[in-house]
Amino acid sequence: MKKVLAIVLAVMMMLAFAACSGSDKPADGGQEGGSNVRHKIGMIWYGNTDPMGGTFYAWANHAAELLNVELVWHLGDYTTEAELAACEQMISAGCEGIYFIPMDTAANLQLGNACKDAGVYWAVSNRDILDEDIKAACYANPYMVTHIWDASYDLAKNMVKVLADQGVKKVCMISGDPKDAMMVDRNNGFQDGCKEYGIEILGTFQTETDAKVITDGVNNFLTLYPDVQGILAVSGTAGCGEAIISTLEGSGREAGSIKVATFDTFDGNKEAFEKGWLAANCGGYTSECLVAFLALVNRVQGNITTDGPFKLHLSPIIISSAEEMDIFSQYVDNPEIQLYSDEDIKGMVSANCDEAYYQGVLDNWTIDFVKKAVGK
Amino acid sequence: MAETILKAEHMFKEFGATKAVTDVTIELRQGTVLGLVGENGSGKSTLSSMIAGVYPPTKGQMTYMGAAYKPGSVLEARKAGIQYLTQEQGTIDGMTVAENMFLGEEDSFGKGGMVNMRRLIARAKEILNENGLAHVDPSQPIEKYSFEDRKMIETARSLSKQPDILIIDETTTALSKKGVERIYEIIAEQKAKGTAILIISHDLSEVQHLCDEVMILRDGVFIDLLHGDDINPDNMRQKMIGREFEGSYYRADFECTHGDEVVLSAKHLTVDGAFRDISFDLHKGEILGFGGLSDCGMHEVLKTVFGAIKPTHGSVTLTEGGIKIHNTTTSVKHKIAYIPKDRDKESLFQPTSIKDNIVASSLDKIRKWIYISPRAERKMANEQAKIMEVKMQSVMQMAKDLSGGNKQKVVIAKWLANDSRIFIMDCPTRGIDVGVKAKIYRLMEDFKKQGISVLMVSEEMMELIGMADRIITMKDGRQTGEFMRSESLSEADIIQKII
Amino acid sequence: MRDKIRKIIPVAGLLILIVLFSLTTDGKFFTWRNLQNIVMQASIALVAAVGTVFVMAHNNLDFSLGGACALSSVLAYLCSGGNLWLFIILAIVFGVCCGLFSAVVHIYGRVPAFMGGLCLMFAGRGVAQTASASRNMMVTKAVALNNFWVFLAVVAVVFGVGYFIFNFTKVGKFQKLIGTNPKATELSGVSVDKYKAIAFVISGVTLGIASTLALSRSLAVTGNTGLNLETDVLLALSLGGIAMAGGSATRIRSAIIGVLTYYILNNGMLLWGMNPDYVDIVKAVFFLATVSISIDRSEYDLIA
Repeated sequence: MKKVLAIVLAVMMMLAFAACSGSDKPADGGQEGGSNVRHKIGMIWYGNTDPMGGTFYAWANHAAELLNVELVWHLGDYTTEAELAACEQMISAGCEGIYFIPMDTAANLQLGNACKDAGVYWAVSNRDILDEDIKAACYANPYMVTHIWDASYDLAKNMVKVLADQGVKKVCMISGDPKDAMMVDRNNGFQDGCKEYGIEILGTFQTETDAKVITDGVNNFLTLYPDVQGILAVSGTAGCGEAIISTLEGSGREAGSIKVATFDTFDGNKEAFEKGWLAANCGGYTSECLVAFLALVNRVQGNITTDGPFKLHLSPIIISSAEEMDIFSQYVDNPEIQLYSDEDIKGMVSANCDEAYYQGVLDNWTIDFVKKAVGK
Repeated sequence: MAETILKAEHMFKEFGATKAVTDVTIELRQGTVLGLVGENGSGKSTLSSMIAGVYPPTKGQMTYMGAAYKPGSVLEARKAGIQYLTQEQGTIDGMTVAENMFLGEEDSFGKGGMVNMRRLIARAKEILNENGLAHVDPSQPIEKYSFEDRKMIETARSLSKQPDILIIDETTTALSKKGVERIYEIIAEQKAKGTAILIISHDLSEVQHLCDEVMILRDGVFIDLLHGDDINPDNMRQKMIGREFEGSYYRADFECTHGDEVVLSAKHLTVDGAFRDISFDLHKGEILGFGGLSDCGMHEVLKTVFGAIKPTHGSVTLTEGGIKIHNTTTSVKHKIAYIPKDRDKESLFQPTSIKDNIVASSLDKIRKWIYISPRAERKMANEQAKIMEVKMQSVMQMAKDLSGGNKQKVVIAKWLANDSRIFIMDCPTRGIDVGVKAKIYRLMEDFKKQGISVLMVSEEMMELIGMADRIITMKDGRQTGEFMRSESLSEADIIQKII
Repeated sequence: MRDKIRKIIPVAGLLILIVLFSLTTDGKFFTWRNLQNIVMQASIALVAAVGTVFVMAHNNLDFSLGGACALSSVLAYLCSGGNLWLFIILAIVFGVCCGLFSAVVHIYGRVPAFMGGLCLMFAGRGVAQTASASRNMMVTKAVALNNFWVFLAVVAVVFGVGYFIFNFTKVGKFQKLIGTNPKATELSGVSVDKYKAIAFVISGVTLGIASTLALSRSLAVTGNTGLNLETDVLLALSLGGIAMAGGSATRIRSAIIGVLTYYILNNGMLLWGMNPDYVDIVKAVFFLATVSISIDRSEYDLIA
């Protein structure tokens, strides 16, 4: 019985090999054609159930239809290993470009190498490459299309400016992990911004995720520095934003007497704006995903022939009032809303698009852009 | 002649290629006790199972009270008045005594799926009291009671409605003396009431004592129907096996013969809760027997000697090399064999090939560095299976498909393969037929000749007296006496020391 | 007959998948590149599965794989300081430690081994996430190992050695006997505890090797290292028709058949370009179909 099975298996493998070695070539043939050929792009994406994930999923599908591109989605990979496996399979499936958010710095190298070996373009967004060797290797990879990272430093500075414009002179600061590159950018942005706009930092403590530490720390600030006028915070996730506001509310101070500028949107931020506690908040990263994806399509369709990546950065949207918060929460990261018009999208896939053009699109990502797009 | 209640004619039963029953006709008559005897695998249980509705016959027809009878299940047969008591547990854990007693008959205690529990329990109590089980509370879960109590509850249940036919399949094997006597009483009562009774038993003296007629089966085929004086153990044994015994059943000599050399000695062995201060020497070529009631601690003594139970006090030492035994690995390494009482649970790998069963303890003998060649394994297994005359298709057959006697042969083959010098045997002939029993007795005699020592426990007094050079009796965990082999030693002498 | 069908189903399922995907993917399935992909993606689970078979053969389930992989990777990284060769050796050493932990909990604690496994699953994940939150654990040199021939060689050696030990040595044979009847094994003069511990050690060694393969795929130890490894391996082994209660019916080929089936299924559906929402549903249906036919139910006979 076993022998029969072994023979059947062997014969089948031989047959299949013979069958496919012939069909290998036509699969390659599609590489050359113009935009009338339907190209296939692999999309390694973390998921389509949260607002950002769902929005980009909808945007990319819409753009793909518009541009006559076929998408192959692979959802829910959270490790470099899984991303690499998906990438390899997409290459086998005949994808000519791969878009992904690298799970960590190494993913750039691994997926980049896999794409390079197969002659397939790749584009990444939303993450910086922290390791200099890997960065050099990626930039030397002719198939890398975009490298887009979040410009935390400039954003932090701009948030300080919002406070300065409202007359804040003395602040306390909640800083982030000095070993984490993104947090370092935020810390430095706050500090340099304060220097630039003449704001004094009275005191600092460090946490990113512990709401209890925030509550105790903010209370300490209020006791130690009765003249504090503002609070800068590198993180509002995991209940931190809520903790800052509720501590202030419980302090007995007059509403709005202390202004808060914090990263990350959180629950209750609209009320906090209305009461005057919150002065600056930020969020919205989906546009860099779209830009990376469209630049990839542009390269795959052969409109642009330069080698090497476009190095771009994005500042999330700064929100500085309750009305803006309202607009932001209604229209940004809502899968139902296409903030970029069909013309915008087509404009991003043409021979004229260079690094400066795409950077311009990213720089235009502000609350005013959103207002205009939805006609408010 | 009494009136026929059930007649099963030209019955056949096949399981795949195995012919379990071939063209057997059996008649059960009012007030008559029919015994069904045969070796393991002779088809006795298969035949009775078909009557009790466990499974349908492949061919053949049954007539019950003059009408055609084709039971679809045990419950159907039970409703028709045929009660079946087996050797296995027939009650279901997790249910109360009362629920177990009226399983499948709850409808008669309520309407529309609702069962009147109070009436159910009251009726159960009534039946229990009638059957001398007043100490059993019908509202308690059944698993609270001992195996024996459960067996008796099951028996009481089967008699709660006067049956027309009662089938008793080796029920007495698992019971104590008291339980067995109660079953005998029941048989007498039912006989007087005119119930037709079918008894399946390995205990030939029990059969002789109880039965009016005895049917002998061999390999699924009808051999003979015995009446009156023809019903005696020797006659039945001969017909079951199909040939006369060569020589005697037990040892023919009455001499206490063994070497002077002590091979193993146990000193002041104690296991808390089981037995206290047991000491003995085992000599070369000696058969040393332990006798007692099942709970006297003798089974635990054997396990302790083998190293499977850690003694609280005392030690077991091998004379050769002065090795102290503290676990089973040491004892097997030093050529000690252990044949447990519970074959299926403790010594056999059921869903495993006969080959793997036989070589399990002797892999060190055939391995080359770490490699064990399948060919060497098969060779060893074939050799040993041949010596033990295991009835099988090949050594690759699963052990679970063998009959009880053949399973025991496989277990012994495992230890022969390891060249064991000391055999510890706990009830080695329990639940196996006379043919294999005789084979084991001859083997023990061979052991003596080869200087192999045997340490043996048996619940059959005749076996101890027939085989052992020396018998140590135990009662409540203590040593109560020692008897040397002699012609005059009787069961009564031993029983006096163990009760 | 039914028994035969049961035994053939896992192999048949694999063959059917191969034929199906060969015919329906315009030849994309049987390209040299794609076959390389399948081997490389399946390697980690396959190596880990070989060790797991030993543990399952003596009737234990190992839920520690993912956590143990994370834990041994993190510890190996911290102790090796990012040196690749040292990492490999240490990953195996710490893998064995994880195995021994499960063994000690099981043998001395007298609880099923998956209890210890669950501990490791959570502890390992926690340690990995804590460590990766405070530092970047990259071993860039491991990129050299991310090569088809390296992976193929590792898999061939691990499976070959595993096959030999499982079928032709005392260690493998005793696992099966213990799985069939632990009491009878002990009473046959085999130290059940010792051989169970050996199975966990073997599982630890393969885990260490799997950790190294995982590293060469991801180049870094992160909070997600080894994520879902235990479910991947257990699912794959079930697809391979492994006997759930261990014992004599356990075959090491379940590892290779099951893991290949699992990864070919994944691969083929992606080549089809199937909507990812349906991929998991199809996987579930396939799993149910194969396992319900192939699983050994002899132990459930009483219920049926």
